[in-house]
Amino acid sequence: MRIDRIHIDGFGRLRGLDLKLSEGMNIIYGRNEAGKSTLHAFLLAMLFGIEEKPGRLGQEAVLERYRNWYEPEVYGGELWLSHEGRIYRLCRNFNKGGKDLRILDEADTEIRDPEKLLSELLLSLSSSVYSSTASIGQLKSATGRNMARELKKYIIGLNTTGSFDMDAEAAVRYLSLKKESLEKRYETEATREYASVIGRIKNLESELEQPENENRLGYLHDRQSDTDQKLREAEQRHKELKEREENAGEILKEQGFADRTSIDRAEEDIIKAHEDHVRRHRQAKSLVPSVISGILLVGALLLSAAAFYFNKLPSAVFFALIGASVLLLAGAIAAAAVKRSRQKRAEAVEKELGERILPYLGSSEISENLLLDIHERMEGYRRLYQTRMDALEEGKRTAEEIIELSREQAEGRDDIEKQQAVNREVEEKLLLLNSLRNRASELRMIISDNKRIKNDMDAIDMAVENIEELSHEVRSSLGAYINEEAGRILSKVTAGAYRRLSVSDDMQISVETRERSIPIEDLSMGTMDQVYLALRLSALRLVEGGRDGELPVLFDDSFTLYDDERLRGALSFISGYYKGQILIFTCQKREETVLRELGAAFSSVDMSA
Amino acid sequence: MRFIHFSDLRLGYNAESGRRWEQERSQEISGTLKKIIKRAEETSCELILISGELFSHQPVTAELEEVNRLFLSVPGTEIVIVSGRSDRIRRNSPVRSFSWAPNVHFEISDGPVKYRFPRLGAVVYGMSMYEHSGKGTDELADFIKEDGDELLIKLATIWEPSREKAKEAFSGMDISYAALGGVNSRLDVVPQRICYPGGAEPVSMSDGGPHGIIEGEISAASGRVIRLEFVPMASVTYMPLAVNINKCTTESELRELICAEIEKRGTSNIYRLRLFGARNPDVSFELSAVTEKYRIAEIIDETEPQYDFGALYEEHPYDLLGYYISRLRKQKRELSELDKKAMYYGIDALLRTSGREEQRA
Repeated sequence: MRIDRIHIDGFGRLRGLDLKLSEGMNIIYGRNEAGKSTLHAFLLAMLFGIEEKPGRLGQEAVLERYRNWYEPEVYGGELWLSHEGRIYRLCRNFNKGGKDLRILDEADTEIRDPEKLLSELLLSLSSSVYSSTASIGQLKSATGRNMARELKKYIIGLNTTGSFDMDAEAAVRYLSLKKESLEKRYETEATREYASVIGRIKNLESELEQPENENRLGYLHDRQSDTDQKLREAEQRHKELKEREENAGEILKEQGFADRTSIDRAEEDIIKAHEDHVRRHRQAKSLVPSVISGILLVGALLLSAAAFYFNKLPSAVFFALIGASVLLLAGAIAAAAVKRSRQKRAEAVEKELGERILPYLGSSEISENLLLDIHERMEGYRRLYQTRMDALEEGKRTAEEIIELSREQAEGRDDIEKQQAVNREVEEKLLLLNSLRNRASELRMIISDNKRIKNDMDAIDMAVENIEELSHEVRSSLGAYINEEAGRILSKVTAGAYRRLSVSDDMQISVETRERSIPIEDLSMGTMDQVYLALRLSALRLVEGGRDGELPVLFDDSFTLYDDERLRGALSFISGYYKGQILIFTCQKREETVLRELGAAFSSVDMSA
Repeated sequence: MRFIHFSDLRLGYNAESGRRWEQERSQEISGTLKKIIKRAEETSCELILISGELFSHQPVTAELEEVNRLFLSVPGTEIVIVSGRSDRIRRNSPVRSFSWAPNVHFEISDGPVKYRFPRLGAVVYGMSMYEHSGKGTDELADFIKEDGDELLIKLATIWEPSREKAKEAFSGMDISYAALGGVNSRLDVVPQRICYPGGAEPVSMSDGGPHGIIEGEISAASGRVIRLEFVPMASVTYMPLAVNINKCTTESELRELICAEIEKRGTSNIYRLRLFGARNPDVSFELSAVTEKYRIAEIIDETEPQYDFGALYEEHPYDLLGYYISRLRKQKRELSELDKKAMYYGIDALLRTSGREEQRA
């Protein structure tokens, strides 16, 4: 296919431009700022259309970039193409859209399927492939070192990916970064922590199951109230017993009864006293002394009477009688005295007895039932004494009981405290158990997230593997081809100075002269340009797939850094090498000059004209 | 007699462990208990039956005290509690030595229990889950059958996850109402007689549907249930949300769509987001703005980047990308999920790192 004529209605800064081109070599001359790159862009836009959607990575639509500056509605143009003897007119109006396309044949009839025809004309190449092969710019770098780097990148790229702009290494790096950021989200410890948390949960659960953790607090409290109650009752009883004992003791003490024998003795004393009393009372009551006294008195009286009656009595008899009567009187007095003393004695004894019985009977009256009463009373005291003794005895027992119960109470308190401590521990463990369970379910979530992340990481690994494997493949098939072809071209372009391009396994690039091997970093900038040219041409040959020369090749300011000799070499090679149409965009006159000197056929157009 | 029946509230269950809203959710669940008690107060409810799993675990004294305080606030309402599986009574349970308010009846024993409420004319037969005890609904049923009581209103309450068992045990029995627990969603074994209220609050994505309590009334004259209704109480619902993506969907469009849907359906609900469809390969969905704002439990991204492999291959016939695509096409077997993912990663990496933009005009 050949471009015969260009007409621009409006495109970027260009408006109403008309250029005629011929087959073979064409020099398109335009000063700087004349719009050479715009023309270049126009050609590509016409051949491939303009992307309407926003470009990848958010670029603004290319369609707007080239809208006509002066008359925005006038946007598009025409190309006349010839192919296999036929001429076609290709029209695009970018106002109608980036892909607006009409193709008219020589008879001005619209071709029915313009896209299909155009694709054929372009050997089915896409815009990107064309741009990276047939549309040849130059290395952008300004310094030798950067240029070497750029060139290296292209060579390696070409070798490993088959294209200038695909970068297997960069893709792998990009994937590694992605993997790294995934790794950051991956919680490696989660599985391990989960296992440990589950273990701890199981341990805690079995700990809690231990019998010593049983909560018997209710039972213990009940038991304690029981004990408290019993103790209270015992103390109450003890108190009562003590009172009773004391009361009895007091009463007995009042009566001076220290023990049972004292009671017995007291009773005995009283009985004796009573006997005494009875005897003396009887004695006192006895009339005998009175009778005797009376008899004696009577006797005395008689005697004395006789004494005094009978006047002639011997004095002796008289005195005897008087003496006898005095004796009898004395006797009567004595008898009376005896009775009196007896009475007194009996009274005293009675009084004593009365005094004796007073404390017991409450009165000193001596009744008939005295002994019975006393006995009853004494029995009472005896009973009281027994009561006291019993009370003491029981009191002792009760005291022991109290000691026992107090001990139980203290133990019970201890038990309760211990149980409360156990309960507190159990509660702590339950809280811990709950928080562990929560952590476990959190971890389960994290682990399943991890699975997803791992999945993605595995996919990335696989992608990296794929890319690396494929680049090896590419290298061994395409790479080898390109290096060979590029070497051949380079050799021709440099007239044998540099014969071969070699790329080692570890991506060290060098060119070979007859004598030695020169690493690419050591080449001059001009030489590097030549290597670049050789690469592009070899890539182009690759994509043409045998249909050499069927596409127009565009050189855009490619030779500015070439010195004269190199320029001659390059141009001479190109005009001989490439069979198809060549368009050289330049702002210099050198190319023209050299071509004329070489005697090569070419035509030139001036954009500014 | 007016009553409320609920179960499986599972206080203290941290379903949203690790999520941003886990505390809020716990509080919401406690709040639901408060709501229920408040409702009891407002409707002059006379009896509350809690048929199991009031707690999600062995409650500690502090938790019991909190709940007890709440119960104290309705001294006129009798509250009967039985335990379920998660909060079953064990030998070491703190609940064994806890003293409840006088209107709370929670017998800590192994076996059926009877509570009489002559003031209400009702008797409640209940049984708690007791660890290691082999006793179940059958024992309760037998107990009820053997017991004769002149009070007219007879209720049974137990945590029994098997509806068949419940049906077997209670359907022939002469009781007014069997208050059951142990099934997550509202279920009637026999309408108005043997019922599950369902969990009072949902706890997971699989707990769809409404959650709440049963409110009812039993006639004092006939001993029959004359009114029974379900009152939704739950503060949130778990909702699945599926969003269809296509080639044109942008990140901001997606964000807006999700926000709109969530605002519409309720911002306190908990969502599981599923994205499906074919997305533009250059677009990635960064949804942290949405997950920060709403309760999104999970995002399942089932979208696949929509690469036009044909076009890509045409553009890259001779280079690595072309090799990549043609090799994948040559694969005889179906691509596994991993293969597909790896392929998308690879193509994305190659396209993103290619310098083609510089070559364009």
